[in-house]
Amino acid sequence: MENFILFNNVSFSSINEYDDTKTEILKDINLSVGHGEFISVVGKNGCGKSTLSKHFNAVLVPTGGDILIDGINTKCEEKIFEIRQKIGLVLQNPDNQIISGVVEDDVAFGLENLGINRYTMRENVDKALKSVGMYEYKNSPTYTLSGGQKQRVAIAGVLAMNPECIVLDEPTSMLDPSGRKEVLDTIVNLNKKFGTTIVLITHDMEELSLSGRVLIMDEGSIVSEKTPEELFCNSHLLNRYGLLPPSSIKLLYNLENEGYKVKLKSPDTEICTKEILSLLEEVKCRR
Amino acid sequence: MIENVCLGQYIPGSSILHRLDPRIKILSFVIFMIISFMSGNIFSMSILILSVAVIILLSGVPLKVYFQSTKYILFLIFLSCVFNVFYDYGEAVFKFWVLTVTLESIKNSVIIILRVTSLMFVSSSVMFTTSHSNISFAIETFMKPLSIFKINAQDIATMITISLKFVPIIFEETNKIINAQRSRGADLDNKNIIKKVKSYIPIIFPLFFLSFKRASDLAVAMESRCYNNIIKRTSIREFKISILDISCLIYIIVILIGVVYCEYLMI
Repeated sequence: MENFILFNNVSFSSINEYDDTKTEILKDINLSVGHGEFISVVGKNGCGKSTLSKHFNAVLVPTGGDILIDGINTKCEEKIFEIRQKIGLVLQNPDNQIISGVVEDDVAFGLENLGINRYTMRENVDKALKSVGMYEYKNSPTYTLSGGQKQRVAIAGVLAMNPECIVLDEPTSMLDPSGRKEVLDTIVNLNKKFGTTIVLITHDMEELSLSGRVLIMDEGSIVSEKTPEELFCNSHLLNRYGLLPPSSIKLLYNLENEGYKVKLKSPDTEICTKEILSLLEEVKCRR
Repeated sequence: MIENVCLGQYIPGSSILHRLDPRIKILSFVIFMIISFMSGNIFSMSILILSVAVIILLSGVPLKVYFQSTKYILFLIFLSCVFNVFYDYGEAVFKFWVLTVTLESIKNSVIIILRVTSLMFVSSSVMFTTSHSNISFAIETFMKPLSIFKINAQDIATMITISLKFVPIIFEETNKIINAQRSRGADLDNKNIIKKVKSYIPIIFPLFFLSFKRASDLAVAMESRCYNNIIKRTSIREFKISILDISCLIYIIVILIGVVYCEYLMI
């Protein structure tokens, strides 16, 4: 698979202006993401996940190493708009990233900045709003929307610029369960239907299982790279980085500790259900 | 939805005022400001009130919302005018202890209340019917001549849009902080004014802190959506002056002439 996003020994350190101390936030990160991939990044608070997310579209530039987006180095200032058009960034708090008071105007914000003509803009905005299912709300003021709807508008704002990749920094952590489902469905839909590359930074283990590849971050570096299945079957890794598996897998782990023979663990709830049912059958037979 | 409309928020609709060009609305509002401060006698006052009533009617927003969104400011105006009544000059109608009420002062108070209220209502009607980006477009247009002084009209317009957008958000956040501090036992209903002011410190600090955090997030969001001052911005909305806009200007100019006539030319 060709490398759409490529991190080459990337490190980032910030300098405290008061006492000239240097804090290393990212250390020697190597990463490659192909077109249409869905990867997720997990890790404890303060491990550098958010800093990493800002490196994708050149909001932050690495202090060491290089980042190539489709072959363009993020340090190249003349091509910065090209990079930002290719890679959209969605933040945690929907209120902080909606710029305009009306849905449609906000979605158009990025295109307006690029000086795109009105007809193309109209087309792109409508298309973006339709693909997140917010087209009916295009003339609503943003303060009347729910959290999930606001976050979908924020995604539409990024989508309107026709990005090839969307980086989402904990997009669901401030939403209620229904809002969270709306946003996750939207993300999965974008990945499957339009082949948009997704980098999802998250805390939530259930969200991990949507992705094809999981990167675990700890203290500024990527310590492990696994598929969700591998990760969930590896209790050592889960414990070490303080990750809690989804409750279905937790149940299987508990059963295993009780002495039952668990054959497989999967992030898919249905497979887990089947496994638990077969265990129950076994118990029944034994009695 | 209408219950949580606070000062200066956009209410979507399709009334005549909604359809007007934002530039015309702002221009008319400036003329209206002149009108309201010129009118001082009973004839011009009635023209003023009548024209405000027409504007409210055309905005398609219920009168209740106007009162609701301006109630605190109206209360302040009313209070200051009550004090104004006791300002002692002219012929006394009523005397009590050190307080003297004169015909002049009553008249003045009533005029001020009517002027400021009508100004508040007309400005609200503009805010209710114009979305933020339209307002910023109008401001940008009017500020274009300032580019001679190297002032970037586009930046100022964006700044205004953002501050308007954050009014309801900061308002909501203030309420949240107040409730959070109350639940920790903060005494916010103290009658003692000094204690009351002091008790608001733990509300103001978190509010500032959170606002700065918001601002830095917003900067990242704007930057990642290519906000810049190199490329000339375009707008998704198209603005054309229509017959409706011209008739609105004519309407406001007719009122201006009427008020000038009542004030200066009538005997």
